[in-house]
Amino acid sequence: MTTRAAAAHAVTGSATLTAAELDAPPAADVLRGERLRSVSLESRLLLAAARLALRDAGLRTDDDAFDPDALGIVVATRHAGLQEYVDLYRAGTEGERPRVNPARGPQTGFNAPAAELSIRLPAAGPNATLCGDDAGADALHYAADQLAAGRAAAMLVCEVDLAPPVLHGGAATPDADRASVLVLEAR
Amino acid sequence: MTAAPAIVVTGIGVRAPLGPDLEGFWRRALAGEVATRELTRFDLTRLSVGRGGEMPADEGDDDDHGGLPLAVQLAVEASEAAARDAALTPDAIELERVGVCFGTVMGTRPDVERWLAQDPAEREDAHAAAWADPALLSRAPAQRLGLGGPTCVVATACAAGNSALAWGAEALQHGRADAMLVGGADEISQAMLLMFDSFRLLAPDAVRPFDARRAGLLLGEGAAAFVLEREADARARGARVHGRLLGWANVADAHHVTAPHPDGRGAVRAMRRALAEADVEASAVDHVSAHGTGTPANDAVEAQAIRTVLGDAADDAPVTALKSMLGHAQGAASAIEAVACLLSIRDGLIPPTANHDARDPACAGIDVVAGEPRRKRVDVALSNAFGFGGNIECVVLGAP
Repeated sequence: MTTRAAAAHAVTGSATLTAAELDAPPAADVLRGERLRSVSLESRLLLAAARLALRDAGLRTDDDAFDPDALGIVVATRHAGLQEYVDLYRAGTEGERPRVNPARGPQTGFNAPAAELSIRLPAAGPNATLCGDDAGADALHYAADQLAAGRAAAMLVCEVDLAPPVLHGGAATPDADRASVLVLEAR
Repeated sequence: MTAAPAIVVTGIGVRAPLGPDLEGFWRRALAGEVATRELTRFDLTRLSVGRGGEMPADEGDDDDHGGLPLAVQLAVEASEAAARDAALTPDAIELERVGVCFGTVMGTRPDVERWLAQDPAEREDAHAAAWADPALLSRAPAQRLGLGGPTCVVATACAAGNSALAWGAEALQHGRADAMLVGGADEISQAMLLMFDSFRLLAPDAVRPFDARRAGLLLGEGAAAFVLEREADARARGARVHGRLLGWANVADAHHVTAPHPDGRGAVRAMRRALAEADVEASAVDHVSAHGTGTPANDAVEAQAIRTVLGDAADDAPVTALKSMLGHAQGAASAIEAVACLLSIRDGLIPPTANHDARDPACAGIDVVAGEPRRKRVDVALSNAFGFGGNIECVVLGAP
């Protein structure tokens, strides 16, 4: 059987962040100036964690040499957008008439954190969101495949999930809601 | 580096509002039949537009597969059809080495609407509910067919069907499986209807891609599935080959959550990269299956992007938009459109874009098939899929 050859890659940066840490430095520093009113908690967490991971890797997206096309993103998640979906559904079906906020609609999808991240960094390389049983491992495979094929020079391998209140009878869980990001670079 | 093994399609299954099976779907697609109509499962009093491409209640499998969400039922049924078509039996292939990957926008999530409507005291535990288990979309077909390879669900918004094709191909190229069942599946939900209504993006009557009177999209639903294999393995077992998956490209538009880059930057990059990976010149493209949502912004940008990539060759690459008939089946859309590409390759017929009467000058530069099917030999088809958030995945399909 002939298959593609494997290649070695390097983890050059990482960051993990919980929702409880989002409003204090260093997360608050890397989110300063961002307009985030219509953005889900998952998207905010991932954006902050990704910026911290890129800083750890020494990669600057504001550098003249930075090529957005060469930076890709893959996100593993199980529940991204679930609470936003429930909130939108309730806003549309409860009360005398629908009161859906269109600005928050796109946050209902699994792909919203990866999409927001691609726009705000920017990162225009491969972009995928995975939500299978083994999404974290799948994300590593995906990132390695993209680097091996030369479709990106660096991949942000991300995991983000909340335990949304709809799953917990309304209780928020800021210590458990987290995003983790690895920076994987082609050698 | 070792050359990547060629990937072929050996099985096709489809569940779409145009027909209960592959040939019925194809016959009605070639006839340009419009499947969008007034919706029956939703509270239309909360919506300004109550139309869409809903699955007919009287077609297909009566089995609700143990109460699975509709999208999962459709994925299972399309998978069964694709597996039958590919003769995916234990005699032919080691089922433990067959994986599954479905693409979706919402997967099992719409089932939370049913759960929320229940008496809280009667609800099943949230953690055990189908809506909290997106992996079910690929796990259920795997369990139904006894497949033991890797399973994955890819959620690249409305590009997800094409992304699943790419995921499956890469799993085969890296030796993680010997065959992959891939596809896309989604169902219409009240929340998605409410969301698109809030955007004022729903067409009042019909979807008119590239037409001067286009006024938006209508939501749809369905599923399509494919069996992918390495060509050498498929030929060795004597499988019938429907076509080749020649190339694919996933990029982020990285511009805006709901609007494409005005110059089609991401679309152009994705088409070019997919053609480059396929080692196909732009002049060799015989047909383009457009994303073609019927929204003012998408269609003008996509038409310009196609012209930019194909140049004068766009004059010889007829374009069609199946969403004119089916509505936008979300994560299933590009998978269903890939089915049509493979059948165009088989039959030398390209289905028309329904409801297309008067070309918008902003969509000039492409040859939109309208009115009746176009007879043309198709050796290479390019299929576009764009999603909210800027997810873009283009695939190139070729003759066997």
